[in-house]
Amino acid sequence: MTTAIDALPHDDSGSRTAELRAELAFTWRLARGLRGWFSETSHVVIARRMIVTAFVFFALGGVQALLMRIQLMRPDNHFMGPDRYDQLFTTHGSTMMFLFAVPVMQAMGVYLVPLMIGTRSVAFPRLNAYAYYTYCFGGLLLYVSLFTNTGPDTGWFAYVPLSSSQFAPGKRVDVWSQLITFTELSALSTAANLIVTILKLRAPGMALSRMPLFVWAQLVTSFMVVFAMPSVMLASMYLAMDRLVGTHFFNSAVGGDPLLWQHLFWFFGHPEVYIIFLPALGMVSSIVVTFSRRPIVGYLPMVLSLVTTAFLGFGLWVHHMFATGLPQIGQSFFTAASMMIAIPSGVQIFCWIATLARGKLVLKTPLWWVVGFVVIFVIGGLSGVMVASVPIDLQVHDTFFVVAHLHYVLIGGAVFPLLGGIHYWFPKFSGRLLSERLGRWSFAFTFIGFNLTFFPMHILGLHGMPRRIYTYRAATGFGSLNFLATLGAFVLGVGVLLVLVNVVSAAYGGQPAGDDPWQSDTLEWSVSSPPPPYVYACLPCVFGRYALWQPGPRAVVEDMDPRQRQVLVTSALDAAPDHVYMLPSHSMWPFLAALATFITIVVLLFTPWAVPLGGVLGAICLCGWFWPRPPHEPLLAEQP
Amino acid sequence: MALGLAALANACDYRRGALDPISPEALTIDILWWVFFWTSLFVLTGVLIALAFALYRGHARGKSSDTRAELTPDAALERRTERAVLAASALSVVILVALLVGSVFGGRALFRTPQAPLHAKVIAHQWWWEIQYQGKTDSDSVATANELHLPAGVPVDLELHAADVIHSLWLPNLHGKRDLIPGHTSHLVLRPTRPGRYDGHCAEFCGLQHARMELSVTVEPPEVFSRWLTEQRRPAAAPAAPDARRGAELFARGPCALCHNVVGSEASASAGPDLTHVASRPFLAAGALPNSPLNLRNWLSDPQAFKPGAQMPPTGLRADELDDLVAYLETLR
Amino acid sequence: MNEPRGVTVRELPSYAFGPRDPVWWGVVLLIAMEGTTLALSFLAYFYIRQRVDVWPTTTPGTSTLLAAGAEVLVLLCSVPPTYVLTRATRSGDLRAIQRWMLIATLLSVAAVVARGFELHALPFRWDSDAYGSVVWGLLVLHTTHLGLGVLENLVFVALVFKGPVEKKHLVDLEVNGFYWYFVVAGGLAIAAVVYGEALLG
Repeated sequence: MTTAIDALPHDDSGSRTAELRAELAFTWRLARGLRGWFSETSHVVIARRMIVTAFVFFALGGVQALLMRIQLMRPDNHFMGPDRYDQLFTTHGSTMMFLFAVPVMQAMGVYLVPLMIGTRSVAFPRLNAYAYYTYCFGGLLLYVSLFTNTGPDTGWFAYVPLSSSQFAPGKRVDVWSQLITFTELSALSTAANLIVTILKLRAPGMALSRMPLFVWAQLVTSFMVVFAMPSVMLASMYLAMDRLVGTHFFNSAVGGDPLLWQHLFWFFGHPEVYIIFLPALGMVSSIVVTFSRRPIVGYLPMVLSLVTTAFLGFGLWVHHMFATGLPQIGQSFFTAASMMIAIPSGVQIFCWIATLARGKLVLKTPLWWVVGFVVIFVIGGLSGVMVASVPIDLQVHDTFFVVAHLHYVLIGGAVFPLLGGIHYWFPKFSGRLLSERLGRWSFAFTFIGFNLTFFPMHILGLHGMPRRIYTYRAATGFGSLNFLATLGAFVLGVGVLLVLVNVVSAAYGGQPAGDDPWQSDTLEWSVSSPPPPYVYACLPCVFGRYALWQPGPRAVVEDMDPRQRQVLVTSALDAAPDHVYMLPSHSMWPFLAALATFITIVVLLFTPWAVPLGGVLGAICLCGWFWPRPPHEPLLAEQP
Repeated sequence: MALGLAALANACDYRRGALDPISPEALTIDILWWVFFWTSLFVLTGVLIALAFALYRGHARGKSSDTRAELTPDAALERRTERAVLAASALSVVILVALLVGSVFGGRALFRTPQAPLHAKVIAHQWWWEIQYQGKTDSDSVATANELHLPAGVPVDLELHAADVIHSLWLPNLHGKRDLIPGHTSHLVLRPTRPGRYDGHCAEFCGLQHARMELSVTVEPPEVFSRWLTEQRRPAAAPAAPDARRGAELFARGPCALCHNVVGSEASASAGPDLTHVASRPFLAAGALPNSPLNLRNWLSDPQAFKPGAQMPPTGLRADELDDLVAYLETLR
Repeated sequence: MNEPRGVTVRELPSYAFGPRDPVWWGVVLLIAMEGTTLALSFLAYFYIRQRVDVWPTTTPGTSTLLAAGAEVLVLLCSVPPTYVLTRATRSGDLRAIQRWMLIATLLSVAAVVARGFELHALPFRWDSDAYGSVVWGLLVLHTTHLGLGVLENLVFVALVFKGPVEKKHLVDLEVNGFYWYFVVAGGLAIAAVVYGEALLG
């Protein structure tokens, strides 16, 4: 316990009164009407929208995957031509990486982090709204272009020179590079928001060493975003300039180099995998602790594993480039780094298994998803060790083996925990319980369908089936395993559909959940389900790592003014109370700023004059956004 | 499941695949692969047993005792648990280091390049492979497309170039991949030992017809190989049959000669594949069709139907012209 | 274990300077992102440099060096006023803030003008070759940082002259000065790398 808490005067009269709640409800009331819909900045509302949007993109990406599986079902299939197929696999990859995985993980963070650390909002609610709209516009741009048959078609990695204006004329690749701009703007804004929220708004007493592992995972991930995403923004900026104003960054004829693109892209691209996967590990920890009904085994190793993964994650981008023929000695280093990153993942797996073994298990649906996660992720991790080895990678690189590997890691490592997390937190989001029966069925279908789809791909890759081919000859013998994979994909689709059915039917007719249906340990379960806009009537004080399992009476922060949108800022390391911070109310400007960004970037597709236009629009938005409005905060004594 | 992989891998008999090595390099990778595979299977089995045990134990405890959370578990038991985690982690470090060492040594063996008496140049195009065997003089040199002939037991040094975008040369039975990148020249030494025909494929996505960018490899005894090379050096003879003569005329005067080369004729363009010995090749259009007179005729009537997006435009030839052209091309053996 | 005790916020301030302030962290993270982008641009510069035989492919002439020198000079001159300004925010002296804010803003505008001359005087274009591209890339990237700095300065000038000025704005003003240091550092680094060779060689 920090001395700062003890030093402050103590007031025993608990103020959990109806009057306080009424005042808070008025202060934090949601904006109304159509205009209000666009100016809302409540983190709960924005995060909910972002989660729903991300799952819409997940569904779209899934449909694309099914279409591709139909095309590959048998040799020399004429279901679609190469042009359509290329657009589909590019959009599938870009959607799943940029429009689903990263945003949905961040959205879970935006929703849950403030609740878990005992505060009322993210630190910058307006920036949060801006991030959401930017992300939405990016997705819109991609799908408008796909549905008008001008979707990007050079892969989610857009290697130059295939994506240069010489080999990819038209606007397709430009759409892709602007999609990057949108989603990275959004991801960077959200990452900064989460970092500041976690470091500065934790409940008094929640020192870093008492932070839930989910929050640790979000913190580490957000730092990875800050240092990884600029790389792809720079790369896509270079690509856009090469295409639009004739620069030569990647033109080998006049000193540029296509490999520069690959370095910049994978310096982002590999950490990206961990950016998707670390928050999922946080979800696994939350679920394991709750349903084992005991503390995690090895809290410190778990945290250190997250941090180590983040550091190592930046040291292995070259393992995507082994076949380019880089110097041997460098390759050995990257092999070592790529293999060693398995250690922190292994440590975490062992800790979870140990926790389960020493726990009192409650085998509810979320835990089943975690079990599925462990099985699939371990297989994906092991095939990851294989591709880290230069000789083996030279054979399996860019084959279906890697398709299998990456889906084992990303679906097993991120989507399974995410679906577990959805089953776990849905009662908090909606106030209703999901059906256990339907939950288990959906898990069974997804698990079996997944393995049926992707396991055969390992074998296809070893037998010589390259990635990103729209068809293959019958003589190759790839037909039967591909047919099996397509079959599996539909089983997997049914599993995901069952999750959707469960969620929708529970949202409208599920059993009421109550505040804490699982008897969990973290603070979000102490507020009502769904949480009110002000979240906490009184901010809690924290005295241990498992806040709600601590025995004894609860203590709260007192004397906050319910007539203002106040949160408590605490110190970054030990969360000692520091000052009271006022949050801005809802505003239209984040939406307008995102709109201005959208207009600028779309105009940029056609003319560089968008840059001055963007400057002017940006200036207007900046003024509107920050312009002080009554009621004022304390004024300076002297005024102009 | 993993056992199923092993069984299937042995059962299938393809002419392509990393698990059917015919060179020391591919064999090194193959051995390394199986080492990694069995190690992985061992680790996976261990984790699955531990997981099953944990679920069984935890579930039993969950049923028998009260459901309140246990905030301070028994200290001695905790220490034992932590030690088990530590042991498992230490074991994985040992395994990983062992695999790393194996991998690094395997990698060294892969690129310990011997002196190669034979040189060939591979130039990747969208979407076909240009192969040149350099001789002492220009007339000694041989150009072919989408087929690579190699003498068994003789190292061949391939010089790799990309003409347009990035491609990747992948002959899974012979070696790992090597990218062909504009502005970079690279080398790959192949040492096939077992004669036969093997499939290769472009492994880097290179645009619309990445799927139809195959390279067929024929490994043959050295004397058969030299005979083939001698054959290939021979310029095309003027055809004797009247239809073939008309076809030759059509080829030289028509659009064909704008892109293609036939040594010994007037056609000498280099945008498309060299067709001097086209009839002797196993496939048309880099694997799009098996090579037969009928397929050739179909291909010539509408290339875009078989390889949409390919650089070869619709020819717009009449039926009789097609017959003549096929008759001519079939003489190019 | 002690009885858990609550916390009262009655005597806590409503703002704080430096790392105690959330906005300070926000700006530090912005600098981290832009700094990473800038660092990667430098890596791209050196990556292309080791692939090209003659470097620089076009040597910057005297007029370019003069313009670049002016840019460096203006950036350096803007540091002391920014420093005085940040000191004034701590004491809350509005007159001093107005004065130094105005001077700092004028200097930042001057830096943009100097950058304009510098770009105009470059003897190569972005589409001449990869060297031209990467140098222009660096300069344009930094110009966006300059532009953002100027934009923020202008907003703050309007604020401190028109009011109402909140106490919390003092914190924002100090953070704004912090960002400007980053802009100056970036400008100096670019000048050193791009023109250093021309001056030394």
